[in-house]
Amino acid sequence: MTTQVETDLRTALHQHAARVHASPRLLAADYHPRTRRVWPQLAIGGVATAAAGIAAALTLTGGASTAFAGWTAQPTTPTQAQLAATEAYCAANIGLPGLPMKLVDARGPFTFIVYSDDTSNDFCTTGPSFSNASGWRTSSPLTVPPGQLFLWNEHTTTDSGQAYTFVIARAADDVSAANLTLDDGSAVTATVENGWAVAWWPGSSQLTSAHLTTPTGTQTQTFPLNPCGLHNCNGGPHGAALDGGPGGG
Amino acid sequence: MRSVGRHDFDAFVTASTDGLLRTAYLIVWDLPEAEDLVQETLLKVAKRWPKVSRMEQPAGYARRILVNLALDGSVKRSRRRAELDAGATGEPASPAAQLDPHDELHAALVALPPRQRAVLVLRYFLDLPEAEVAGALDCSLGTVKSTASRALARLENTLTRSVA
Repeated sequence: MTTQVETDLRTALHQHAARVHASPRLLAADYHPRTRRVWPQLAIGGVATAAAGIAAALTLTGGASTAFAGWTAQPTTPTQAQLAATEAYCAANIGLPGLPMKLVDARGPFTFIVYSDDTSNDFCTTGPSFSNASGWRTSSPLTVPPGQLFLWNEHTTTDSGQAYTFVIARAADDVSAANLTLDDGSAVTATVENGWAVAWWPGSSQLTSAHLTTPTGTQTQTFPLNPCGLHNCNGGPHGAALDGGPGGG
Repeated sequence: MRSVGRHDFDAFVTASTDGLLRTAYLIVWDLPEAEDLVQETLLKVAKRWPKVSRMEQPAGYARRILVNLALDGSVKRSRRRAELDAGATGEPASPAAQLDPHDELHAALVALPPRQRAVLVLRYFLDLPEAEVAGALDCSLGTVKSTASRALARLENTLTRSVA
């Protein structure tokens, strides 16, 4: 038998609850599970005055190890299964599924994919020792001056403590290849596709220059070393000047 | 497959957020806190979604997480709220201060211990059978019955005193 207090209580609870609705903030939250965000604040700057590209240099502290076994300085062709596995991972973990695929960078068993519509971007990578999916940002399209890259710099660490450095760049339309030189003298060839250039390497060496192939020949673009190393002093860009974007200016 | 699961989860979030938020709000009587609880709950559900999606009642699982989060944090929240209120006014304020002072039932409800309030919310707002309330609170059926009985008696006494 229901008592009066039970009836009153039920009524009161429903009256109060009826005034409560989920806010847009609550509904807009992205609850999907992700691994560590390697590029948490990567954004394409809205204004690209002196811009020649965007790059992210991400490093994970620690020594080289077998975590990156199979990595190659030259991009490789991913197997169909490798690409499918990475695409499946990306589809389940990136922020904006459905953006056009712009670049695939494979280095042995490691695969990195850029999805972008020029205003929103998603990045994700898979490999035997780690997988990552980044967030995305919306911003104005970036115009990269001919014959150049535009670099951005960030860094992060992994749970395993192994170090690697990542460069994500916007490339001018006329740039067809980019061979990177690091501050330890080693060379890494970037993958250049659809206005993007990507490369990564084990360790924390920094990018010092890029030898860029264009229809008019080869030219070298230098990138001054960040005085703070890859641990940015202020989180700003490393190398080419950038107006806008996180820590830019 | 993962893509399909993701869409399922999105649909789950859309369908369950309002209900979870209302339940959380009625337990903690603090909307921002309730929103935080819902977010934390959905994050936990998302992490286990492949398994949760195969459950008969994913909503029940989410509700159980929510209630336990609400109760686990109730002491800390209460202390923190008191500190904040004291800082603002010089005196600790009870959660009831957020309510209409003329609404005696609401005030009496807020004055209940969190666990008693949670039992009443699950039983009389969500209309869950006592067995499901026991499942959500991870306690026995007898505990639910006795807790509900004590809570109702306390409400009734409070209301009787306020009328007198």
